[in-house]
Amino acid sequence: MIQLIPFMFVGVLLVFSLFFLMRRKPRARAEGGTEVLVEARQALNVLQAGLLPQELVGRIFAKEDLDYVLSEALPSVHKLFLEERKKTALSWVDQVRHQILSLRRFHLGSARFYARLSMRTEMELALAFAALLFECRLLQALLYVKGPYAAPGMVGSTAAAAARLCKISEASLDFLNPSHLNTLGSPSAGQARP
Amino acid sequence: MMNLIIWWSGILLESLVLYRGFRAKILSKYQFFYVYIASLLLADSSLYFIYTLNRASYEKWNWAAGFLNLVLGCGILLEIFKHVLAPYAGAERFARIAGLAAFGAIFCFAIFHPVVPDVAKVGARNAALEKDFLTVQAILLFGILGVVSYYGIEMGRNLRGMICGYGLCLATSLMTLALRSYIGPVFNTAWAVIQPIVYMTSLFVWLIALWSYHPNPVPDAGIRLEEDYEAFAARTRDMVGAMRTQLVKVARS
Repeated sequence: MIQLIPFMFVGVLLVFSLFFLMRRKPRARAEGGTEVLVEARQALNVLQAGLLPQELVGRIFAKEDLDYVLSEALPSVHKLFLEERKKTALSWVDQVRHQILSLRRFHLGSARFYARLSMRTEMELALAFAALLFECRLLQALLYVKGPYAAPGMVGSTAAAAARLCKISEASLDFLNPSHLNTLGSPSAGQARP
Repeated sequence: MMNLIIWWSGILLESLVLYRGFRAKILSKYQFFYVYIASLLLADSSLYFIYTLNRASYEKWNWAAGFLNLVLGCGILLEIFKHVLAPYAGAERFARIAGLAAFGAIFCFAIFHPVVPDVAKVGARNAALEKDFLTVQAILLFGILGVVSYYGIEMGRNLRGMICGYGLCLATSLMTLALRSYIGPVFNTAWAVIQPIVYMTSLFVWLIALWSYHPNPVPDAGIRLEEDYEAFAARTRDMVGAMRTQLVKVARS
């Protein structure tokens, strides 16, 4: 039986990958075009200016709001407040995740053209992206199950994950600053057509 | 009688695939694939005559032809490298390294494999060899499809059909061969039904997908030889790091 399993496993794996290959829809836009770069810039802008600012995040997850509603309003209002805040929090994580996917698409769309692509670096980045997306999913699950104020529970694990990522990251973490953003679209940055 | 009908149908379909390749002027575009189809046609036609003239020598020739076709089937993997991955130097490199690693690992395994006692008999050894070869091809194809999917590489209808037909044939052959050697002669009845059906399906897929020429989508960017990949990768790392930091802040807030 043990001899049979690996062969069956490989066979089934191949059938599944063929199934997914057939299900893939062709993209409407040209491959490797400037649209990808524009999309990546937009994703970065949305993340930086629209989704990740501390004020917005602080507002969505502000415990003071809950305290206020708890002290001043009726129980039915508490319930409504929690439901609405949960929806907002879930929608926020979903949008962050969507933009991360967009940035990953941009990276893969560009990296595939590099003749000197490093397999090790690509693996590291794949893991980093996967971890980030997993964290988003985890955050979504926590918010869904425990409500909009479940996030502080993630502090320990997320901080540890961030420390791991810092080891992988070689350069500074201020890339999202506007001064650095300007280099993204320049030909010297390695994303434009040669 | 049923076997003969299937046999004739196979020869007919193989001829049709070749004929359409000739009519649509794509024989030269997918040389490896059509060499494989021609070899299948030649093998099936020759084996039919051997079968009708001298059944005793059929088994011997059947295995030899089968193995030759198995080797020539690698041509489809070469077509993928040539048509799908060639414009993407990075993805091609990734697939090549992954493929070589898989091939190396299986090759090492195959070197030690003959010492296993139950492959001492010629028939069993041949089946084991065929199974190993199919496994190598299946893993390589799976790896290539993984790279194609991960990097979001587009494929034309011709290549899609080529891969689908061959992959289906490969996966089924591998699984049925494994089941046959595990279950024994009891499985032969099922084997005699499954194999021709899947093979016919593959031929149909090839016939439809390669009816006319559908070139692969050409990317809107060339191969980047001079640009610094490390700088690009480092920037992505920074980006991921920055987002991660932001998420940590969120979690702490």
